Amino acid sequence: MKLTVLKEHLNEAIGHVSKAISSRTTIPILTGIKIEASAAGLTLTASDTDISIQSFIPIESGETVVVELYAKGSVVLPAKFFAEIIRKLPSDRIQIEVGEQFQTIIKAGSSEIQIMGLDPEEYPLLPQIEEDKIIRLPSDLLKTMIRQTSFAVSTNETTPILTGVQWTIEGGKLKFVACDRHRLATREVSIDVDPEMKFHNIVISGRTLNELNKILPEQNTLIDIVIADNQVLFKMHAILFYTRILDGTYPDTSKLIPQSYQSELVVNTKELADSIDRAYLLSREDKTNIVRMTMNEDESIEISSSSSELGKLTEQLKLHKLKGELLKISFNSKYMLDALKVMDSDFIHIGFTGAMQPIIMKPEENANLLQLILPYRTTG
Amino acid sequence: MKQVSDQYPKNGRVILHIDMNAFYCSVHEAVEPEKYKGKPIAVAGSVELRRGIVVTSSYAARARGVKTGMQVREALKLCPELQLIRPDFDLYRTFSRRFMQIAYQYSPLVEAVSIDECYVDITGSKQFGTPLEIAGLIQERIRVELGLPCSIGVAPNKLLAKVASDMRKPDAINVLRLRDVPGVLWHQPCNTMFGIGRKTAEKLQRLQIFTLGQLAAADERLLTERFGVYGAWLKRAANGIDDSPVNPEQERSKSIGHTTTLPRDFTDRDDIRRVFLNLADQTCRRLRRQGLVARVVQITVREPSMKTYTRSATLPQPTESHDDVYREACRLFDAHWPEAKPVRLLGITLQNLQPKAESALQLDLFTFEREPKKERLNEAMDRIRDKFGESSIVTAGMLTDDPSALIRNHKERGTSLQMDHLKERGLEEGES
Repeated sequence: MKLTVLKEHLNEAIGHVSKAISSRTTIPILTGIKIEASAAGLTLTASDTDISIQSFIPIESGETVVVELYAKGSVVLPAKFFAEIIRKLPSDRIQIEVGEQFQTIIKAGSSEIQIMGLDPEEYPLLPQIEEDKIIRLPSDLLKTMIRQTSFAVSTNETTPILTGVQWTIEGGKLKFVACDRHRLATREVSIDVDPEMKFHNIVISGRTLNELNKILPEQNTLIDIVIADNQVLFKMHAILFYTRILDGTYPDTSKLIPQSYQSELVVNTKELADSIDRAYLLSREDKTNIVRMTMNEDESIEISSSSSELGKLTEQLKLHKLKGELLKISFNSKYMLDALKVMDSDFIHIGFTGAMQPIIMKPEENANLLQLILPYRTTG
Repeated sequence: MKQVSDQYPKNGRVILHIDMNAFYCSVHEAVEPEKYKGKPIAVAGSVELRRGIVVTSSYAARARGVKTGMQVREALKLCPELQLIRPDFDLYRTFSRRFMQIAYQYSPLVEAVSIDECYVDITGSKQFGTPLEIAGLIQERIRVELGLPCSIGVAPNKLLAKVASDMRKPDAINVLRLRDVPGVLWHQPCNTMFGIGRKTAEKLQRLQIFTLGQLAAADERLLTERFGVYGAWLKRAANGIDDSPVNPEQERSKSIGHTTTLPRDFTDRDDIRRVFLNLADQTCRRLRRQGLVARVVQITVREPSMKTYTRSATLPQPTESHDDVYREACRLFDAHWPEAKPVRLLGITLQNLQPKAESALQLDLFTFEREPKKERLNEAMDRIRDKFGESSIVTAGMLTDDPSALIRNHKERGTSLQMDHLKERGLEEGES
C-alpha cells in the first residue's frame, strides 16, 4: 500500500472513527484503526465490538484530488498514536507507505515516522446486515430526538437495559423512550414507512447515541437506518455507524404515564427554568437537589429550596394557567432542569396526579414530547 | 450553719458519676431476693451455660475469686455453689431507665454512658441541697425504690467524677476535688486514670513517665510530638482537668449492627442467606424504632481462622426495609466471598443513618405504587412484634434452628453499650 492523502480529510475521518476506539478493549487489534486503500479511495474502520464506525475518503472531492493512490493494500495502525501524530504533522499532504511485515512509513514535509502496523487479516469483519428493513430520517430530527431523550438513560449498570434508549416503531410512528427509574423521557415522530412495520425491542445504548449525535450532520440530510436482528446501521454520507442492540427486554413503561391529571398548569419555560436553576444552587449543597413547588390560589407557584449550610430561597412565579387541586410537591431540581432544557417551547404544560405521583411535562404545542419525573417522598 | 451555696464552687461545675455496682447481678438480687440476695451468683451468656463465660458476678461470688470473662467451668471450680443466671436484657434495660429517671429528677443534664452508668451535672441544682446531700438522696432512692447499690463520684468534672466513683465500691459516695488530685492520684500508675490504657501507659514508660504525677509535670511539647492532640489531653487529665460537658442529648446512633457466631462453620449459601435475613430483620427493626433510615450496608464475615473481613456498599436510596438490606448483604457476600469457603461469624451493620422525617426519598417509577404498601406492612409487623414479641410474626425465610434466630431474643442478647432503650424514649417520659 502506498498513497498520499490530504491531512485535513484524513484528520476528519480519524476523528469520526476514533469514537469507536475503547481503551479498555480485551482484543488487542481493536486498539488500532484499519486503513484500506482501493481504487475508489481510502476506508478507515474502528470498532469496540459494541459500535463500529467506517469512514470513507474518496479519491476526489469536487475539484480537489484528495488521495493519490500508488499501490492498493491495507494495514492496521495503533489508533491513539496515529491520530495524534497525523494531527501534529507539519504539511498538508501526508504519504503513507506499508512495507514488509506491515512496517509503515509516514512522511510529511521533512518528518518521517516509522511505526509497526498489524496484519489487517486479523481485524474482525464488520457485521453483515440485511438491508431490507430501512427507515429514513432527517439528520437534524434524529439529533433532536437523541438530545431530548438520551440524557434520561440510567448510568447504573445493575440494570443494563435501562442504559439504553428504546426505539419502537408501530403504525408509522417512531418513538424513543429513555428511563432511569426516577424519570422518563419520550419523543415520537411520524415516519414514512410501511405502516405494517413493527418493532418493539430495539434498545440502543445512550452513550452510543451520544457518540452518533456528534457525527450526525446538523442539516436535514436523510439518514438511512438499517435495522437487523441484533445490529442497527446508520448510513451517513461517507460514514457507516454500526451499533449493537442491547440484550434484554425493556420494561413496559406505557402504563406508567397517567392519562388524566388532578392539577395542571401552564408556565413560561424559561422563567420556570431560571427560577429552578437558582433554587438548584442551594439544593445541590445537600446533594439531594430537592426543590419544593407550592401552588397558590392566585395562579402562581412558590419555588423554594434550602441548604443546612447556606440558607434558603423562596420565589413566586406567575403562571399562565392553573386548574385543579392546589398541590405541594418536592422533586429533584436537576431532573427538572434537564427536562426543561429540551422542551424547545416557550410555554410548557405540567400535569400532576398527586404529591407522590409522576409529574408530566409537555411543550404546550407539541404532544410528541413528554418528560416524566418522579417526585421525592417527604415527611417533613 | 453554712449556706448551701457555699458548698458549690463559684465558677466551676459539680458533676456526679453514678456507677451501678455489679448491675446485672444486683438487678436479679433485687427482683428475686429470696433466691439470690447475698449469694454468689453470676450472669453467664450462652445457649449452653457450661460452655459460656461469666458476664458479671455478684460481690459474694467475686469474694470467691469469680471474675468477669472467666469460663463458667472455671468459675464453678472456684465456687461450686455459684448460681448461674441467663441474662435478661429486657429487665436490665427497664432498671437502667429507672435509675436514670431518678437522677433526672435532680437535673435534666443526665448523660448515659452505658446501661449502668451516667453523669449528672448538678451545678444548678442548689434547691435540692448541697452536692453531697443530692448524691446521698439519689443513692438512697435507688437503694429504696429499686433495691440496687451504686457508687457515686462527686467532682468538678466528668473525668474526676468517674475516678471518684471507682475509688470505693460498692455503695459509696466519694468526693474528689481538684486540690485532692496530687495527693490521691499522682503516686498512681498512669493507667489508673480513666482514658489511659495499658498500651498508652507502656508508651509513656518509654518516655520515663511512670506515675500520673510525672505525667502531670511532663513537657507538653514532648507529649504532643509523641501522641498528637491526645498528648495534650494526657497532661490535662493527669492534672485533673477536663472541660467536656455533660451531654444530655442522646446522640443519634451512628450505626446499628448485629453479629452472630454460627454453631458450626457454614458454607452453604442458603444457610448463609438465612442468617443474613435474620440479621437484616433485626437491624432494621432497631433502625425503625429509632425513626431512622440507612444509606450504607456493611457485612462482617469471620473465617474459622478468626480473620475478619468487612465489606460495605452505599445503597442508591436510604432504606428502612429489611429486604433492601438483605439483598445488598447477599450481593456483597456473593461478590466478595468465594463459593464453599467456610464462615464462622456473620454480621450486618447499617451506617450513614439519618432521621426518616428529614430524609427525602426519591420515588422509583417501577416501585412507587408498591412503596406505601410496604411501609404499612412494616408498621403493622412492628406493632404486632412490639406487643407480642419479636418472634410472634416473622417471614418464612427467618424460621431456623441456628443462632441467627436467637438475635430476636432481646431478653438474652444485649451489651452494656447498647442504649436503644434510652434513644427511643427520653428520660422525661414516664413509664408506659
